Amino acid sequence: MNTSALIMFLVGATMLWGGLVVCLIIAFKKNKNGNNSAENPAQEQ
Amino acid sequence: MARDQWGTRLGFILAAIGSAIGLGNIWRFPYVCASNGGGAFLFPYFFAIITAGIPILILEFTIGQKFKGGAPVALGKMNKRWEWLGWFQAAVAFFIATYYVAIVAWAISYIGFSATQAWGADTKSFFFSQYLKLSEGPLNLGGIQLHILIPFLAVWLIGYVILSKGIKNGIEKANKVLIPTLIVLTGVIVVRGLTLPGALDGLNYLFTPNWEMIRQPQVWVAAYSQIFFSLSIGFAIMIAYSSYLPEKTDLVNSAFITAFTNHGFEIFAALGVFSVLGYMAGTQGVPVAEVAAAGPGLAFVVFPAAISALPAFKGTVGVIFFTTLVFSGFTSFISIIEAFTTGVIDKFNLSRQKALNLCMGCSFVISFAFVTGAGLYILDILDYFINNFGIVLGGVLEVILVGWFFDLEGLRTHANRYSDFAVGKWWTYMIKFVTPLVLGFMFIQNFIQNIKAPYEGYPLNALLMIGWGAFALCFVFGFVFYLMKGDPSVMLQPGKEEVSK
Repeated sequence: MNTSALIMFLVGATMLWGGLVVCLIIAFKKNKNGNNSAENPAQEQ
Repeated sequence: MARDQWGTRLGFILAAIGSAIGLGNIWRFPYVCASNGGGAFLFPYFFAIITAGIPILILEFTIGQKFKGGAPVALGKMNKRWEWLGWFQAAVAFFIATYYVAIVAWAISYIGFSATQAWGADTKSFFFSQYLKLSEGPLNLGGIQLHILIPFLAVWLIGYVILSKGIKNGIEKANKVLIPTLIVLTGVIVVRGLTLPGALDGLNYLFTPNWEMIRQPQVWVAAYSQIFFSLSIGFAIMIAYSSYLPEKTDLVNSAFITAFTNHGFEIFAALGVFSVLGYMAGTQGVPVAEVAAAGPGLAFVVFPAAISALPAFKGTVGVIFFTTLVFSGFTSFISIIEAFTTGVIDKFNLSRQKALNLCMGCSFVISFAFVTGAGLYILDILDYFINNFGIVLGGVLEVILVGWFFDLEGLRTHANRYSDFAVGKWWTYMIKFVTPLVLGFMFIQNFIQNIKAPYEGYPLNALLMIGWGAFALCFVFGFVFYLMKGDPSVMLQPGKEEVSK
């Protein structure tokens, strides 16, 4: 695999699979803490 | 009548993923990516996920969960006149269901053919002449093909049994089995593909970036189209599925997980598809571009030829590849049926069984057109028009009406109530500005293109009867069902507190 193709694959995989892993970690953490509310406006981006 | 509910959050997410992961993830994305800048395409693609895919998914999850109804009832509760749009979207889903079942049936047949590579050396003539027995044109039906009828009836029957069992015991259980299995089977194809000689040539073709191309507007339109069509948004499915969510449930993170899994799967499947194509190109001594294809051509012509060319495990790889097509298509098929069935259950307060008999009965009868010798032609025309006009128009009207004529901030607050993390104000801007602009542009561009030249050179009368005709019927269905009197106990007149602006 040429370098530019490999880099692009890694970038794409990181964006999508990395994004998924982050979301899953957040979901598991919230689930574990039993805290399922984001009502607090301070949490808003 | 108590409204059915998902048993677990995981069950809902898997069902939403099952709906989003369809045939297009396997046979459309790799080709779109390779022909629109390769690796460079991933940037507009990711940008489109963040600016359109995820915002619309959050919007639809929120509408369904807040208003506890399929698209017609949920939109009708937001504004009585918008119920029409919900029925329009449900009609779009209805037409898609009629032909989607045929493709799943073809894939089932091909599982059987894979064992002995029954397609022989000329996979093209096997598919078009021997299997489909393609007639001379879309208006020459050529009779029912009995050999396609058996898998076709099997898909309908299994779909009917699963949907009859309801949300928790039917759709949720089916997806909990089918989606993990689908991912594992795709993994097997990817591993087999990557271990073939020439696989890297395929991946080089797929991922080598062509930076010049991302300056071209059509590449960005291709990225937004891929995201929009891939996520099952704009045609009532996600609103129907989320209407069965309990009150205290995460919406925002579930939308992110659904979108990332769907698009992550696309990249994953693309590895398998293009490594096999790279191997095939190597055995034929031609460039990968010459064997690259999309749609039924990739699945039923190119891939069988690639399977025949494999050095070992031909039957196993064939069975696994077509099983992944069946699973990805089937989980989408049941979600498409559920999209319009939920609307009927809600408005007329019918039992699930009665609504299913009615809805599946009607689509079952129409779907026979796709088991005839003209099935592929009709499917091609209907798929093109329903996707490019029906889904896009349904989507653009939804984001304009809800974005500009409803309390979008109220919906954002609702979405954030029990979510793992809150969605910020950027979401409002995406729904109000970005998504209407992009979808509106896509609709107008498709419209002008079709006025200039008839789609794929089909006869004008066939395009009018099948393509434009089905699109027009979506409007008719929309108005007829909107005007029909619903059950008074679930009347669509919402409480005043639910109406905004």
